[in-house]
Amino acid sequence: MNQKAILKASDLSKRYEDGVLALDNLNLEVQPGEVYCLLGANGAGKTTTINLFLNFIPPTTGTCYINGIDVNRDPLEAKKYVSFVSENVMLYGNFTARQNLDFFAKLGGKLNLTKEDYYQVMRRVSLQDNAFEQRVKTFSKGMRQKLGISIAIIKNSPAVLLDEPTAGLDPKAAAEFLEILGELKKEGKAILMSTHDIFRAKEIGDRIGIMKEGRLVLERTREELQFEDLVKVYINYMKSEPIIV
Amino acid sequence: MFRTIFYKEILENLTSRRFFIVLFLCLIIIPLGTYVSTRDFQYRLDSYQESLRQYENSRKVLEDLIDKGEPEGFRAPSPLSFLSLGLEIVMPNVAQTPRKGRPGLVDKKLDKMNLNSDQPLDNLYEFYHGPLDLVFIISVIMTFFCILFTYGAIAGEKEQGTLKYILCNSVPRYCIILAKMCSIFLALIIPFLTAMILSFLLFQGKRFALFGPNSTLPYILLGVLFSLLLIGVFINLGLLISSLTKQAASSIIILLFCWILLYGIIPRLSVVLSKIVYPIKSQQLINLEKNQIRLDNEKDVEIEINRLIIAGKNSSINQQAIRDEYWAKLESQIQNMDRDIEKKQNTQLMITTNLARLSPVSCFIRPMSEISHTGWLRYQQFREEAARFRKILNEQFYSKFEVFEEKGGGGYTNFKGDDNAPAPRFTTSQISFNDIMRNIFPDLVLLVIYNLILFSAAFVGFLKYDAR
Amino acid sequence: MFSILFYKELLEYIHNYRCIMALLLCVTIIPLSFYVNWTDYQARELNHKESLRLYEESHKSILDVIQLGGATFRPPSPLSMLSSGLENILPNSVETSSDLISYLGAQTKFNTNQSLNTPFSFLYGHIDLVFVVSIIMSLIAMLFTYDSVAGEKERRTLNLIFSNSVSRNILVLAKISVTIVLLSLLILLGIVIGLFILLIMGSEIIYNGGLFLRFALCVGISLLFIFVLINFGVFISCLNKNSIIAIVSIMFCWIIWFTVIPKGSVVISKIFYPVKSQQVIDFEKDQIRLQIEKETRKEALRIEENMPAIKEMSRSEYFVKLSQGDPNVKNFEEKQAEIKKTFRVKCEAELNKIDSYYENKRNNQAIFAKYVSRLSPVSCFIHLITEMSDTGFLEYEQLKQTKMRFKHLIDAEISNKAAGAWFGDGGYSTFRGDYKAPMPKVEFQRISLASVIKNVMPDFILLVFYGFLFFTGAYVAFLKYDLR
Repeated sequence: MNQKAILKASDLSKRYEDGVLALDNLNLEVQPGEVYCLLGANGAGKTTTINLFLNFIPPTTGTCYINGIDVNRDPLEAKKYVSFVSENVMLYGNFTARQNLDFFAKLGGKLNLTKEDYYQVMRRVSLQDNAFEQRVKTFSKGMRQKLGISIAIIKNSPAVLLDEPTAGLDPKAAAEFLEILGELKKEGKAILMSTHDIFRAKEIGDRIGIMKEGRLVLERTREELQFEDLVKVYINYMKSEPIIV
Repeated sequence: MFRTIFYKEILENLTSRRFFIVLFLCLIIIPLGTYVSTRDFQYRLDSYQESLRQYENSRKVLEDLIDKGEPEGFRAPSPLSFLSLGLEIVMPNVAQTPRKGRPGLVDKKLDKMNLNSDQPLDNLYEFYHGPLDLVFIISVIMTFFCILFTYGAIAGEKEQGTLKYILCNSVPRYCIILAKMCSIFLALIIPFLTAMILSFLLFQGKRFALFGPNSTLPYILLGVLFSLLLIGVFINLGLLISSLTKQAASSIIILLFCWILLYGIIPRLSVVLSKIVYPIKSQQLINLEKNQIRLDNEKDVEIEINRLIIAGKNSSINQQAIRDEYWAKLESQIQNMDRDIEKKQNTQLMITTNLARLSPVSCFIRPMSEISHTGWLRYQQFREEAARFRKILNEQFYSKFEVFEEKGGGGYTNFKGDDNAPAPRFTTSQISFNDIMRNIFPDLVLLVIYNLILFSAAFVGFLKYDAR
Repeated sequence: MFSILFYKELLEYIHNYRCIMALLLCVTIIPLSFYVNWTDYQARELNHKESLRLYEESHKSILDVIQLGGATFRPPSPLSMLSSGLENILPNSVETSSDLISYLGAQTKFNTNQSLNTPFSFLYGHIDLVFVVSIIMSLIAMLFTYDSVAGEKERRTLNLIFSNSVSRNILVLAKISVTIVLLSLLILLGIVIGLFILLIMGSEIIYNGGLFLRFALCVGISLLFIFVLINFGVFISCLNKNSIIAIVSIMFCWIIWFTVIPKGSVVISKIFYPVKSQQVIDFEKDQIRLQIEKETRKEALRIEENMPAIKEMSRSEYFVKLSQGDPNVKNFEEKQAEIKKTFRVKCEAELNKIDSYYENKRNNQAIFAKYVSRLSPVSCFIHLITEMSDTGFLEYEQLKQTKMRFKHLIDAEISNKAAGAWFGDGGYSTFRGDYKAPMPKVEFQRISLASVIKNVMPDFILLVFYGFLFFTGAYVAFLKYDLR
């Protein structure tokens, strides 16, 4: 395994109290400057993976590491090196965009930023200037997602986790979002993104993992995907017989 | 179309968890409250009957009133007090003569009866928290339930996304709001009436004269009508607020604030504001002032009688003439004071009542006490009964004393009436149904108006509701 | 980290219209309640003073008391604006019968015809501090806390927060402390405005150290109660994923705590400890008194039978011999006095036995009700404030003590100085003391703060316990809260 991996899951498994095996022996690594896309049907284990990385739930077996730190053993230390963008970002509706950003920046350890710093980040994600001091509850979904990613940007952490960030966005907004992601990748961040969006995944992903019933059943690099139709591969795996343990 | 939506609403309400919780709570609280109110009433009735029995055994004839004790009158407890305890416990329940001493000192006619009540001290802790009568259950608990059923009626459907689905069919909006109102009403009435009927059968069946001359049925029906109207007001209020908000959470917050205002603030404020705007003297002070008048009158009688003695015209007839003259003067003074105080009291109460009518809850609470014969009308009636008794006692008993004062302070008191004549009895009367209706009719009308206004506003609110 | 979270929570509340509505309520209702209640107290105090003046004008000497009957008055409680409690129920005066020269001693009775000064306050309730805190502030606390955790989860901001190095205990502490600080500030603001109004009105609560101390303690207890409710609200929010379900749960709990348990406790106590009504008890006592009187009279008249010299005297002869100090007459009266004394002692013992038996039963009923009601922190709060305001059971105890002291005083000054005789065909009684002596007085004394504190300590401890319990519950529930 590559020692420089920022995000690493090692034999990671999760069985819930009701007996459901949500994740079965996951092994994956995300290097700096790499975008890893996790594809899969609903219930495949993508969100579980992200929840485990964020220590929202403990693993049954295995370990996940952020920047070499065992997340389960030292979650607070590990979380210094990761930021998160959720599906359907709601944030604090009565706060302005800047106030939301300010709060999460401070939580992320950035205590001395100025207004101008916040404005710069929001401009970077193409949020209109007149929205900076507007209440978030007046924002469209696309604007909220942009604000979500700006929160991740301002923390400037080496790893970024995204849980279906383009769900419900129109093609233009989704394209803008991915452009920003591309910039973050160029800055050397390790990005793990779960998504249903096969096309965007193919566009942005350096590596793509397909999950099915808690297992990582297929992994392809961008180069390998040049010779394969990802759509066909994905659909074939989804249609095939269930994996019986 | 209406039927379809109505059935869906009813099904949704009757299968919801909150319906079962409400049903469960109603089936516990209402019978419990009725049971205890009934027991309490039974206690009061027993003690009333015991008091009456002991009194009638010992005061059979006029001679007994001299030897054994002063005449008294008792107020019967109201069997409808399970609806509203009202003023039942704080109202006087015995009319006594002002003389607090042993018999043998009777020598004067009465200018007043003392109305006393020992009941509050029987159960002081109850005054910390108040009674668990039907008025409380409806005005607090049922109105809370109304809020719980209506806060999400419209805003909640919008949040769920189901409102759009309904409206993308050819359904007129008025159908929807009507169906919601009817179904919620039914969903609340079912537990309420079930619990009421159950309690009635369990605890009240034997005690009640439902039919006949002293029938309580009209009052119970009136009570149920008022209850349904108040529940209707809060359902319509809930629908109105829900149709003005986009989120169910907002409507529940606004509804709770409305509840605080309508139940907590307006009625209570009306009591204190009327006292500030139109203050009147306390009972204690009035009684002391009356005592002063009485004392002055007695002094004047003494002076006149001394004059008689000095003038050598001292005879029992002359003395009686003076006593009669001054007694008439005293009675007219006291009566004038009483009339004046009563007028002022009624004015103050009228101000309180009218201020309180800004809240539909007050339009429910006060009339319920009148319907249950535990309100201000009952108190006034008892006062009148005491006044009648006083008159009869004066005519048949106290006016039959011959009092003579001699020079040097001696004298005698003789009873000239028939020792064995039956002692006058305190007679009770019923407040007529018409009197009660006249008293509560404005509140009934107001409750209907509140219902109409709130429903119309909810109606219009929903017609304009942004369902996107 | 704590300060960042604290600041954000505070800002979140301030931007919410709930805060504005709560602020409006606090700054209007609390000062208004102070104003109206103090005005009402002033009116009652005026009535009390006037009653006292009229009484003292007409009762200057012992003769007046003998002829007209005596009374002692309870002044209204200045702190009744904090809790009206039993203020409008408790008798305002203790009165004696007008037949004080009785060998059976003075009969004292509570005067209970003050309750109907404000009849509608029994229908609608009072707008005192207890009401404002226990109903209005409790609902506000509910509205502030129901979505403190569940709401954040719904907005997905909880996930976002915990994707940073934020420990759970810091967040839950920040949430609880902000709500407490904010609501406390709102209440205190209302109270300060109210105090200012009282200052303008010249209220003695401001100037009297003892009263102000009690007032301050009551404010402190109110804040403690709010602390309990806030922790409870956060606790329920931590048990739910959906904020609407959280508020519905809190509302049901509110109904149980604020209505069912307190009133239910009264109900249950009546079932387990029924007591006869005072009316029936009074009848029983009257019967016993009459019986003893009959026996006494019989015994006393027997003496006359055994002294033919006295029996054969005419009344005027008797009185002449009495004024001359005739030893026979003196002996006769002394013997009768002896009998009367014996029977008086017997009568008092019997009546006291009945009184204390029923008093005991009544106390047991009240104590049982109190214990059961303590299952709800609301009852603990009400007990605390009511006793502090001198409008609770302790005030009633003081009244009963005053009644007893008054009786003893009247007995000592009047009844014990009575003399007289019974004959077969009548009798006479007279007062052997100084008719012109000034009227005896008994002042009503309020209970000391130390005694109140001793009495209400269990409620205070329970309230602290509830606060601690719900705080722990909220803390633990949040540590285990499912963030997914």
